[in-house]
Amino acid sequence: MRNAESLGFNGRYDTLEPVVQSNFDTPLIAKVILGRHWQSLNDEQKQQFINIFNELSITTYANRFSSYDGEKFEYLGTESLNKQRVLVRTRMTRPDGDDVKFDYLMHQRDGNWYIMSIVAQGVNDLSLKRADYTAIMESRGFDGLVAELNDKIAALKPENNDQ
Amino acid sequence: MCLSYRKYFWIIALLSCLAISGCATTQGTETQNTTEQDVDPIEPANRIFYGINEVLDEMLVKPVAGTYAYVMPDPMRESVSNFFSNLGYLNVILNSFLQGKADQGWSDTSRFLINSTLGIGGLFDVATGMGFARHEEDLGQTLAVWGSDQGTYLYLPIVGPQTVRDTPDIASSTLTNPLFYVTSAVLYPVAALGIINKRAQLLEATRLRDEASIDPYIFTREAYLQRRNYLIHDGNPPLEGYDDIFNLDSGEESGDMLRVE
Repeated sequence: MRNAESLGFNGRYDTLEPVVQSNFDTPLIAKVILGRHWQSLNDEQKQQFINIFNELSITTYANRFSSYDGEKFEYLGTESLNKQRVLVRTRMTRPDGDDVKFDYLMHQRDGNWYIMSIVAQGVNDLSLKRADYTAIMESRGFDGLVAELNDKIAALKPENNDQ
Repeated sequence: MCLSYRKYFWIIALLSCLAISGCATTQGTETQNTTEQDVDPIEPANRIFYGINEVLDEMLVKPVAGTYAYVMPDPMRESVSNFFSNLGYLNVILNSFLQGKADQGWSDTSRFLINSTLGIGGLFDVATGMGFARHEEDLGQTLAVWGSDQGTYLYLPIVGPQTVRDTPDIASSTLTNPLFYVTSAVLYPVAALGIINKRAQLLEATRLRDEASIDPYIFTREAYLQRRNYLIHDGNPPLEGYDDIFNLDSGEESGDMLRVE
């Protein structure tokens, strides 16, 4: 986002919301993250988790993409995985600083491609969240997880941290 | 006298590390779907050390590193980073050769010689521009290439995240670092600068960790293990790892969870 600074947090949130909605398969991401605990939730809790996770994703991106310093993405290739999944390899180059490898784990649903996870320098965001969230589910239950995620969202909003 | 005592200590440390990882390697083969208990059986002890390190970091290291990053101009910070990276590079050369990557090993040797001379003691990285790229190798990666299991996850005081397989590198990276053989008192401020500079490089990473994670201990462990796997495979870990996450670990649902009902 080249106009990131002038948009402000709320402008970035509004810009990113449809982008995240149409490019990420949030319901499936939510299911994978909770792993075997997904089965123990009722439909209302499942929907609640999907909604909170979606809001957390958009808030995180709106918070993080606060400036544009001339980063460029370069497409490196695509690798086929099982079940119509692919790994799209890219490299982000920065005018000052080392290159960063970003791989996008994508899958196809109803003829559209969706991002499942972003892998930065070999670190898979989906696996990290799965390990983190399932540990909280085990120690403090679904309500504990929801409370933590709501705290995260609140902490990332600018009125709470002057960003 | 001081030097010989320290040498003795490190040789003992190296031997005991090798002994530990030697024992760990005999415990069967590594599987893709390791459960949490397999990876981190001593989590309660690790969490204690994690807590101690966090307190030390918050009270002392992180504030100093933050000030350092704030006051030091970027080119100077880069030179400090280059300097320490170059000092640690003999360990990279050693492990490139130990992994049988002879071409890379010679390239790394050239890199070290060029940066140590033309680069004025490593302050400037002129070798990258001449085609001698920087590599990341260490004894933990070498042991992995040789077929050793990663072993138990350890969170060590001061050192931070490790696996048993990575611990011998603490000794090899120390013994191959020219700083280790400096006996004058200048060693202490230089070593302190190295630690502060290292921590300053990690400020952004720990900020992202604190922002993204609910339980930073788990987040650190996962990120460390994934990062190690990435380095061991020189940036191309096996693709099966990306499919594994879609398999439910309990077997409640058969196979893949491609659909949300």
